[in-house]
This record gives sequence, C-alpha cells and structure tokens, in this order.
Amino acid sequence: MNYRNPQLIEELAAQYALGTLRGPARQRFEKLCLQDLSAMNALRRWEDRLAGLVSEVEPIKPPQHVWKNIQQRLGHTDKRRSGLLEALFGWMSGMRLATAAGVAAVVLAIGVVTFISIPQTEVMAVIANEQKVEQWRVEAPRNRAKLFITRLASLALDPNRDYELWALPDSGAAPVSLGLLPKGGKRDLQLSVAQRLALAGASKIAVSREPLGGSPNGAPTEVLFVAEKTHA
Amino acid sequence: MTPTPTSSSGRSGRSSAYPGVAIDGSNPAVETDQVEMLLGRCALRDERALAELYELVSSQLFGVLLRILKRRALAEEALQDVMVRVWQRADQYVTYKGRAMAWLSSIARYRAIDLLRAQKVHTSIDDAPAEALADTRSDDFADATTSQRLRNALGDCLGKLNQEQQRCISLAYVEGYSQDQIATVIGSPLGTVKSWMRRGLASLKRCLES
Repeated sequence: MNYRNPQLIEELAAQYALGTLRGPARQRFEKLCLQDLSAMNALRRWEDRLAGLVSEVEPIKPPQHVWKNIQQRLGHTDKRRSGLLEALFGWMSGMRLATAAGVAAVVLAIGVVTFISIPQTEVMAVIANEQKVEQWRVEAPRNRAKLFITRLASLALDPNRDYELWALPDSGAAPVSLGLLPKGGKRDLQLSVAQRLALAGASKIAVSREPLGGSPNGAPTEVLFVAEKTHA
Repeated sequence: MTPTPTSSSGRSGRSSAYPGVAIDGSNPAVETDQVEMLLGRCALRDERALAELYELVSSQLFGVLLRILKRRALAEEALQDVMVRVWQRADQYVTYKGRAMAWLSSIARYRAIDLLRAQKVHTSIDDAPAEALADTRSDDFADATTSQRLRNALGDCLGKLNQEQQRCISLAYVEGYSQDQIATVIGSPLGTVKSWMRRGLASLKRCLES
C-alpha cells in the first residue's frame, strides 16, 4: 500500500477515527502514525471532526467499584479520606466511643493536623554552572502549584541584572517564564496554570540573565544555564 | 472546583464533546476549561485532580464504552483502562490543547475497539440494545442531527448527508460496528456500505472545512 498518497492517508485516518479500520490494517496505520507526522495530524483532525458524535450517547453513571479499582491499579489513596482520617474513623468504629463530644474532639484534632501539615516537597532540579558549582535548588510540592527556590552558591551575581527561570517545553515551543530567581536566600514562585502546564511538558529548565525586572520581551535574553529536571 | 451535574445525573448540563459546542445551552467553555485544567493537574501528578476528572467525565465515557462493548463488565474494565491511561499520558495532553473531550473520547473508543479485537468479542446483533437497532432512517435520527440539541457544525454537516450515509457513520462511531456488521444491520451489500461511508466522510470533511 502506498502510504505516500495523501488521499489514501486521509481515508485511512477517517476510517481509523470512525472505528471501521480493523485488524492488521488498523495496526499498520497505528505504526504509520508513529513514524509519519502527517498521518498523525490527519488522524487528529478526524478525531476532532467526529468527536461531536459522542453527544449521541446517553451518559451512564458507572458503578462505585470502578473508581476504587482505578485507584487500586494506580496505587492512589482516597484523597477525600486520608490515611489519618481512615485510622480515626476505624478506631472510632471499633471502640464505639463516638459520642458527640468525642466527634467534636476528633474534628478539632483533624483541623489542627490539617492546618499544621506541611506539603511534601521534591527537588525538581539543581542548577549548576559549567564548573559544577551549584547555583540554585528548585523544589516543588507534590501538586506543583509553586516552586521553592534556594540560592546555593556564594558566587557574586551582577547586582544590575536579574536572573530568570524558564521551562523549556519538550514540544519545541517557546520557553515559558517561571519567574525571577533570588540573588540570595530563598524565594517562592507561585505558578499559574499555564506555567504549571509548561513545566509539566518540559524535561529541562533554564536560567537567563535579564535586565532588572526580567525579560523585556517574554523571551530569554541570555541563557546561562540549562538543567534537567530530576522529578517530573 | 465543583463538578457539573453531568457527573451524577448524566443528562442535565451536558455539553457537547465537540470542542466549543453547546448542546443544551450550557456553557461549553467552562466545562472544556475544567477538563483541561484537571488534565493539567493530572500531568502534575495531582491525584485529587484525577478524582475530579473522573467525576466530570466518567458517565460520558462509560456511556460510550457500554454502547460499543455492549457488555457491562467489559465496559467497566475498559473504563478502568482508560482512566489509567489518561493518568499515565496526561502530560501528552498539553500538545492536544483545546480538544480535551475529543482526546478523552478517542482514548475510550480506541480502547473499546482494541478490546473487541483482543478478546474477539463479536457483539452479535442479538446483544445490541434496542436503541442501537432502531431504524435510524426514521425521524429520530434526522431530528437529532438538526435539532437545537445538536445544532453545531457537525450536526449541520451530517444533516447534509443522505440518510444512508448518516446511518452508516452513526452505527460505526456510536455503536462501534464494523462495516460487515453495518451491512448486516441495514441489509445492504458490503460494497455499497463501504461506498456510502467513503463518500459520506469525504462530504463531511468538505462541509466542515467550508
């Protein structure tokens, strides 16, 4: 079969998205999509064109155990009931001591525990210079809503410049600014949804040297360091 | 984030999976944004986001899976596979921005088709729900494609196809029927069905791009 024929690619993509391309032909087209971006793009366009047909299908609520099985397969815990809560409820149920006062005390205890709990952080990257001298450590909580930056080296930085952190999307899209780095001590960078998405789609981050206040045009001015993320 | 009524009751507040298209007056942008936001959080390994996403889309996806697989236990297994895959591939969604439900429903439909193939589940016409076998040449289908509920570009363009073409495309996409099965259901030769589908898809593309 001549896969260089755009008309044929188009028809195969349509049949694949529709679901009528079956058997070995379906598998061959899947392989083609992995090798040929034009085939993949043709398929995506057909998926988009036909997606509205889903609205022809009546939604049906799946049974409760499906979600539990999904969590089990992924090793997730039920976030609506933490391990601590589970233990407390289990204890209350077992001891049959759940008087009104007891419940109030437990709720208070949960409130306090929740309040003082500190999100677990992971080191996302350590940025070093060419001499392997570590410059900044980038940490993030598990929800990746912010970055905790620590300036590590005592090497002098230019006081008339700022240093900006960037996500370098694997897709090849333009770098996305994540904020200005501290020239000493620590700084937290709160991330927007766009920044979090960009960071999730980047396996590398970079530091640029900028005029005071940060990049004047939304793109890095002078890239100094690039670091691999050690955690996604 | 508050899940829309779709999550529990199914019908009310439902928006089209077709990007940017409202079916029943709900605001599709809000829901698409919600789904996208949740996928973004899944990419950041936020487990709670997966739970919220499941609340939001599981009924729609389960409906799609059940319609194709016909068997409840198989559809439940498929839904698990789909959500696991969504969690594992959420980071890839970034490159599909703007088409969250198209992405999710494609994952679900392809999984169902794979299961049909892998388990050699031949959904016999006897297993099919009555609605799948309803004569879609009747007014029901024509109404569905032109009514206010489905008044969007796809609906308009489907409405311009002849009824045989509409019916073939719907049976393939919604019911997951192979071309052989479609030929059996509508009682026409396979070659004719293939021809209707090819021409129908070509017309649909021309109409949607015009």
